Amino acid sequence: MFKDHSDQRTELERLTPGLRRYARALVARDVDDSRLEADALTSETLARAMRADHGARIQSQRIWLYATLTTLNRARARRRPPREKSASPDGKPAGRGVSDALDALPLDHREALLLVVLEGFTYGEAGDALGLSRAAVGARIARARSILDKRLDAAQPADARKKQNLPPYLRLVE
Amino acid sequence: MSASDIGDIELSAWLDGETPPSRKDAVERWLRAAPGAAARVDVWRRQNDILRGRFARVAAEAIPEAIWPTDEGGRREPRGKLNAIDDRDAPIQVERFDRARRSRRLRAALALLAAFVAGGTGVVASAALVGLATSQPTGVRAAAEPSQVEALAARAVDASRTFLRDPARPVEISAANPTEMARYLSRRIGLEVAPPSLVELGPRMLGARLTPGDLGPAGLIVYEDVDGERFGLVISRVSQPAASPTQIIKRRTRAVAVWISRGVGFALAGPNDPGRLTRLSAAIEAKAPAGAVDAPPAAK
Repeated sequence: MFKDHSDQRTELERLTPGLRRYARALVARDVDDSRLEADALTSETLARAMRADHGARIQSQRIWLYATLTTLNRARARRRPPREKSASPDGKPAGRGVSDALDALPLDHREALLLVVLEGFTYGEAGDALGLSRAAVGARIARARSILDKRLDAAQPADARKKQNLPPYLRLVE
Repeated sequence: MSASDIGDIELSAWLDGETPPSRKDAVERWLRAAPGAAARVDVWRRQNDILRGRFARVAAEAIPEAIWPTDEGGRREPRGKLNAIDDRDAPIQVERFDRARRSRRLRAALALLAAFVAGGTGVVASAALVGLATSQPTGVRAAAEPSQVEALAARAVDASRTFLRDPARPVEISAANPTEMARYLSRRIGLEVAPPSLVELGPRMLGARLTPGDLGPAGLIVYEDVDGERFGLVISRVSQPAASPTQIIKRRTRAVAVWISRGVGFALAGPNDPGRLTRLSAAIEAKAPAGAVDAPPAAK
């Protein structure tokens, strides 16, 4: 697939910014320092890309990278259960930023949503990366959107919600 | 909801441009006609904008050094945290044989050694080379035999370099069944081993495999820390069972804590973090009841 090592490195460099972005959004609030964790996941993915046998790979480099990072993150999440999410006494989540909203999504829903919305994957590509059918990807994304919607809506009183079309999180500063 | 109603999944797919051509008309008609449908899609569209806006700056950042450092030649090379075993680490013995070049036999043996180094089993070949050097009558100074402790350390680094970097299969027997794992190791190594758990210090036991040893096979226990860093613990019979206190031997980016106790050699290879290795090795020493019990030999 690559003529030589430097060819591949150039390609990886091109894909790294997006990979870092996906990693950061994916880790969300699972760990205390998501920046470090996200970069560690990205770094490990890149290292594996350099070590792997490229000739044998059928997927595109891009899909392989995101698939690998997704798997590594799942392994991390299994090893270290997400830290206690802070909640107010009446059960409503305390944080209202975007990362907190993402945090409310089950990991597999988060993955599908971020690949498509953040990284511009088609449903087919996301399915390849996640080992799912296009229909399954679509279902998860629809559900993810519904959860995000409800979760953020719950923090807002009902009449205020009716008054404007804008969802509450538009006014939040991250 | 009737059969002609368009549900969330189809609306969501429409927003993502994933509606098949045969459904496009139906969905768009629905969006125009059904109350709230367009508003719903609008909310999702704003979710998209928020997500992209929030994380755009990550993609715009310069790629940090830590992810993609340069190596000495100025080439950039990613260094994953997991199994960041430096390929430039040389087995200890190679340095000792620079002088031994004149004899043809030794030159051939050096070529063999180079092949073994590339394959990661340098210690085995270099042990043979030591034998070769000491038997040469040509006046080439025979290099000194590496001490037992150094040999153990070299074996641990080589075994780590060979096996630990495999992301999927670093071990042959999983730690999922610890009794079976201990029994297998004990039988093959000839020592009653009970590989110790280190999970309260971080590293989780993945499993074990055999690796070449001084007196027959040694055991290699693989641990994986929460951040993905792997450690390899070699447990081996040794020819001189005199106790030796824990030493830390460094090899560029890797280090090994090595000691001999109760007639057994231990070598824990990991990242160059002497404090951590010391703490882990102390825990291993406290927990591992390994002794040179004559375990039944493996059935042929």
